[in-house]
Amino acid sequence: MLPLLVRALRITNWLNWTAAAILALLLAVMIFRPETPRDIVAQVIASEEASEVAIIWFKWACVMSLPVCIATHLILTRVIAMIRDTQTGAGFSEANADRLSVIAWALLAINVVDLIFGQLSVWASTVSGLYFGWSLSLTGWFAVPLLFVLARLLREGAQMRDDLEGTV
Amino acid sequence: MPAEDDASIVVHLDELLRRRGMTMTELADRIGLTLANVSILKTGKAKAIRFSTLAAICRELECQPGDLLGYEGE
Repeated sequence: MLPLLVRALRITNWLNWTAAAILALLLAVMIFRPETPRDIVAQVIASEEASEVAIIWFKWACVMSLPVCIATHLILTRVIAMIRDTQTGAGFSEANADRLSVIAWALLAINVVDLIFGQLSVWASTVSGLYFGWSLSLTGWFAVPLLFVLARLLREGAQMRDDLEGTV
Repeated sequence: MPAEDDASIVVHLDELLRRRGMTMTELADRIGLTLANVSILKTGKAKAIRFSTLAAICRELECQPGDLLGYEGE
């Protein structure tokens, strides 16, 4: 079960970087060849102003995807490392507590970027009159403090385990 | 520092075993501890000792906790 999960997480991370590369490529096209996306968007959106807003929205969406990609990479690689440690019977360690803290910070970063992206979408929807879908999700915001608490618990558990190992 | 405090506790297990003519393996069998843990205790590398272990050692070596443990000040 766990080896399968590790493989799935590795594939997910690979897809994460592939998506980031595609978005970076699109961003490069929008910056260096702006006429191409402008023509494509113009075919879908009639209003010139709305098209311009849509392009700005997409540009920023691409920019924001990069920190999210890095944060996702941090989360996935840390989870993989934690699973590996668990497989070898060394799950309760300070290293894993540190990894859980990194996951919590990365998730916080994703939530913050999501919030900024939300503001961008609200602005784009208001200005253009089109709907740029976004809704506030509280799940991530609940998960962040939970992960920080779990990291603290894991750290204390690891210290207790260290003490127990020296107890006869 | 706690580690330094731990270092000042000395374990006289070697001496007690010699007095009773008992080997570490024998003691480990009698008190239900692994030989590795008895060795950790004997060499003073243990961080803590359970009351149940202390009681079992005192029972088998016919001694008091004070005979087994000592404190070496500065």
